[in-house]
Amino acid sequence: MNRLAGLPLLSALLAAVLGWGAAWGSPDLDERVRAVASRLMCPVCEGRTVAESTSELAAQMRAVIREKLARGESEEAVVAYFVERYGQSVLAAPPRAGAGWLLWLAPAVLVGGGAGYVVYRFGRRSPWSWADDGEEES
Amino acid sequence: MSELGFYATALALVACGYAAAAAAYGARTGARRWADSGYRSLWAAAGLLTVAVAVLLHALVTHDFRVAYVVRNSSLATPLPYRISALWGAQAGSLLFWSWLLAGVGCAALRGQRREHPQLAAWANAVLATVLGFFVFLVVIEQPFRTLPFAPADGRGLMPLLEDPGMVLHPPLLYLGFVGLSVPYSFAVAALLTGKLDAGWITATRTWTVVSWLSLGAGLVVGGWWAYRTLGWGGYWGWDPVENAALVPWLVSTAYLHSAVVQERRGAFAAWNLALVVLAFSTAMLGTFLTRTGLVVSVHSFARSEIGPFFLAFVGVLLAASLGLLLWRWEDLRGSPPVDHLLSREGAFLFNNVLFLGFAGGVLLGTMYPLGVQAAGGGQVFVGPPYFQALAAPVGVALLGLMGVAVLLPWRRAGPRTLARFRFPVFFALLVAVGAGVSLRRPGVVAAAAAVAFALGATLHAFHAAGQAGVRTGRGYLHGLAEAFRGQRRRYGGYVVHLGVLVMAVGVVASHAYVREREVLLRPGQSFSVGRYVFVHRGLEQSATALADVTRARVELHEPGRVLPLQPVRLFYPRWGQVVTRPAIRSTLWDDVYLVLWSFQGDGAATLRAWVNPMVRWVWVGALVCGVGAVLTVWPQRKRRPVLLVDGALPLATARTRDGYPAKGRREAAREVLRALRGPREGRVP
Repeated sequence: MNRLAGLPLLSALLAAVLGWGAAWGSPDLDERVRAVASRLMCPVCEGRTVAESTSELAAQMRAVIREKLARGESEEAVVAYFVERYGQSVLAAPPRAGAGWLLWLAPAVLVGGGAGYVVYRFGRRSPWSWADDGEEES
Repeated sequence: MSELGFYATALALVACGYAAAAAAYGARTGARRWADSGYRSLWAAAGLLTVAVAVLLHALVTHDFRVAYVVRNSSLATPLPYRISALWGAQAGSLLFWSWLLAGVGCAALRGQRREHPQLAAWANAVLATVLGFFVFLVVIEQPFRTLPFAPADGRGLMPLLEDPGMVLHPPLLYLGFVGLSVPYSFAVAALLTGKLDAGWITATRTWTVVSWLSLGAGLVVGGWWAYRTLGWGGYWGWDPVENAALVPWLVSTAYLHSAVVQERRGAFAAWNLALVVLAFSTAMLGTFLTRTGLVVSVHSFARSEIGPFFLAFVGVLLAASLGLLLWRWEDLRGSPPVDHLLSREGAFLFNNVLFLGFAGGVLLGTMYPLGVQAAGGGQVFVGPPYFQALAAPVGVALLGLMGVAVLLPWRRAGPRTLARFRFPVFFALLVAVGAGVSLRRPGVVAAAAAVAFALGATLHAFHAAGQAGVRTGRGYLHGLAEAFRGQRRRYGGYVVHLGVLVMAVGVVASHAYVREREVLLRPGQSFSVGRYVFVHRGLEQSATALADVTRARVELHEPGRVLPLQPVRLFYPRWGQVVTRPAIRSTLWDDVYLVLWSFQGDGAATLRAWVNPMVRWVWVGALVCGVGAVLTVWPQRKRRPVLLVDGALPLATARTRDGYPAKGRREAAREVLRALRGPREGRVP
C-alpha cells in the first residue's frame, strides 16, 4: 500500500478524534454523584444500585450524595457515611480487604495463571527463525 | 382438553426414557435396529411435546380460565401476541417450551448426522434424550396443565413489565441458545464414549454451535434493549445475576468457537475443546438453575420456584459424569499435535481462550460470591457493577487488541512477511492513541480507543488482502472481496462479526464513560439543562386505560437549532401494584437523550430524570452487524473437493484457492492423504 496516500485520511481521523474529545470536559458534580451512587446498593429494592434504582429512598440518597459532595466531602467519605448508616450490605461490591481480596484478585489470578501456563507449556517449543513464514488460510 | 396436555407430557417422559436406553444399547452393541428405535422415540417425544405446547397455547389463546396457568399469566384484556408469549412468561410454561425446543433442536441435529456419523449420533441421541427427560420430568412436577375447581371470570394477566416486544423475543432467544448448546455437548460426550476424538464431532455440530452462540448473544442484546426502553434507569446492562448467568455460557462458547477452529485445522486442542463444551453446557445449566430458583437477588424475580434441588443435582451429575469421561480418555487425548510457536494464530487463540475463560470465571465468581459469603455465615453482601466493570474493562481491551493480533498472524508461526502486516494497524492505533490521549484524557478510554483502532486496522487489512488478490488475478478489487466471501465464508463471516464487535465496543465505552445525568423537580414552565440540551416542563396529562392509570409529562427538548416534544410516561397498574415507567428517548448515532418521569405532584410539578447517553445506538447497530456475520459463517456453502497432487509418496500441494494462496500447507496435505488412505469415512458406502 502506498503509505503516503493514507496520510490525509489519518490526519482527518486525528482531527475528528480531537474534536470528539473536546465535546466532553472533566468530571463535574453530576458525574461524581453518579460515580458514588453506583458504588452503593439501594437498601429497599432487589439488586439495583442507587444510581439505577427507581425507589424514593434511592432518590433521597442521591440528593444526600450531591449535597455532601457539593460541600466538598470526598467520595470515600460519602461512601463511608452510608456504610455507617446501613452497614456493609449497602456496598455494591465488597471492599478490597480481607475476604474481599479473594474476589477482587481472582480474575487476575485466573487470567495471569492461564497466560503463564500457556507461555510455560508452549513458549519454548522451537526456536524462531526468519526463514519460516507460516501458512495462509484456506 | 388440558388432560390431553398432561398425558402428552407424561408419555413424552416415558418416550425419553426409552429413547435414552434404546439409543445407548444400540450404540454400544452396534445394533442398527435399536439405534433407529431410539431416534424414532425421540421424534415421538418431540411430537408429544408439540401436542402439549399446542394444548397450552390453545388454552391461553382461547382464555380457558379453568387452567391455573392461564389465569395467572393472561387476562381477557391481554392482546394476542402477549397471550402467546405468556407460554414462556412463567415457570411451568417456560419449562415446557424449553423442553419442546430441546426436542426439536435435538431431532434436527441428529437427522443430519445419522448417516455421516452413525455411532456418534446414536450416543448423542442417548445423551440428548437423558437431558430432555430431565426437563420433561420438571414439567411434570411443575404441572402447567393443573386445573382449578372452578373457572374464574377473568385472569390476573401478564406482568405489565413483560408486555413489550422485547420480552416476546428475549426468552425464546436465550432458551434456544441454552438448548442449542446441548447439541455440541451431546456429541462431545459421544466422542468421549466412542473414542472417536478427531474433529468429527466438531464439524458435525458446528452449525448448531454457531446458531446457539448467536441466539444466546441475540437474547442478551434484546434483553438489554428491553431493559433500556422499559426499566427507566438509563442503562442497558446492569450486571444483574441473571444477566451474568446467560453471559457466562456465552463467553465460554465464544472461547470454544475459536479453539474449535484450531482443532479442525491443525488437529490440536482435542481435550481442551471437549472440556470447553462440557463447561459451556454446564454453565448454561447452572445459569438456568440460578434464573429458575431465585437463589440470587435479581430483577428477574418473576421466575422462581422450588425445583432448585433437582437442578443442582442434575448439574452436579452432568459435570461429574463429563469430567469422569474426560479423565477416562485422558491418555488418548494427550497425543494431539502441539502448537509450534506462540507467535501464530494458534497461539493467539490460546490467549483468546485464557481471556474469555478468565472473564467468564470472574463473572461467575462475582455472581456466586454472595451465596458463598452467606453460606459461610456472613451477612448479605452484593457484588455489583463496580466489580464487574473493573473486570470487564481490562479484559475487554485485551480481547480487542488480541482480535487484531490474531487476524494478522498466520497459522503455525509468524515470519518477517507477516510481521510486516502489523505496520499499518500499529501506526493507526498509535495515531488514535495520541489523538485520544490529547483530547479524552482518560487512560481507560484511550487504551480502548487504541485497541479498537488496532483491531479495525488489522481486520480491514484482511479484507484489503482479499481485494488485492482479486486485483492480482485481474478481476478487480470487489471481485476479490466477493470471492473471499464465497470461498472462505467462515473466515470472512467471522471478520464481519469482529467488525460488529468493534462497533459495539465504541458504543459501550462511550456510553459508559461519558454518560451524563441529572434529576430535577420542575413546576410547569420551568426548565433545566444537561450538557447542550435544555428541557422545558410544559405540564402533565392524566388518563386511564382498562388496566393502568397513565400520567404523561409534556416536555420540550431544546437542541441547538430545533425543538422536539418528549413525552415520558408513568403507568400505575393497580391490579399488580406495579409502576412502569416508559422513558422518552430521542436517539441518534451521536447520542441518546433519555428522559424519565420519576414522580409527580397534584399541582403539575414533576420530578424528571434525564440522561445523555453517547453512542448507545452503536451497540444495537454493532450487534446487528455481528448477527449478519454469524449467519454468513453458517450459510450453506457448496462443497469444494480438495484436489490432491501426489508425486510418488509425497503429496506436493493441494489445490490452490481462488485468491492464490495454497489451500493447505504440506503438513496438512500429508495428513489429508493419510486420512484418505486410511479408508472411507465410517458409515459411508465407498
